[in-house]
Amino acid sequence: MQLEPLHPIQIQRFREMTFAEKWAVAQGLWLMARDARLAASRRANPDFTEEEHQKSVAREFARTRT
Amino acid sequence: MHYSEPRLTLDIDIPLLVSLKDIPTLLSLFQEPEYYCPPADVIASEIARDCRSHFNIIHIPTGLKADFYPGNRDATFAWAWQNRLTQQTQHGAIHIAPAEYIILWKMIFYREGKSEKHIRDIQRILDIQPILPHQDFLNEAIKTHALTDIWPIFQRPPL
Repeated sequence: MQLEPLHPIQIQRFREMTFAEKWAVAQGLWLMARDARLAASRRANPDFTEEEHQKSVAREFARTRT
Repeated sequence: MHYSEPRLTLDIDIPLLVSLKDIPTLLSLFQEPEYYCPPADVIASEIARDCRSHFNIIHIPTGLKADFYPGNRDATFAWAWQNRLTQQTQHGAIHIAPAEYIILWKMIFYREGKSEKHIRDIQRILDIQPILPHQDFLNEAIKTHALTDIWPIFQRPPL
């Protein structure tokens, strides 16, 4: 497995970040991923209600491994 | 994530000390329809295991999952609890396992399942924190758990 090296600036920044800052970034990534999947669900299933889209994406996330 | 880069994740691992008398509390905290929580008998049978106890709780509206690992009979859990890191948040204090405990268990899980995500996670921790505060514990645990032969997989030359 070839893991892309972090840039020294990234390493420096990640060392400086507080727990709250990292948590906020992770939360933002999660919201972005969820919004993208919701948009995909709306395109694929235009007959779904908003609640059905939300449930569909939640089910998908519950099965996904990261 | 706390010891490496912030990244997208959909689940969280929670080692915990839990006994049969705690099951009603767990069930009351994670109730339907907001949460999926296994039935009491499933949690009880997991707690009764000698090792590798495990159960999931899922936040149904978001699909976010917490993997609970009862560590009642695990000496490394006792060490991790003693050396936990506590962070204050707006929701209260949370406890974070020491990096060495995370690395150790990711090595154990890698040996069993060969999932490359464990290599990624460990290398990222070591990228950000090449000098571990409890390196002695990790060295000893690597020997105790017969992981010496795979330890080099997780290391790479400094940048």
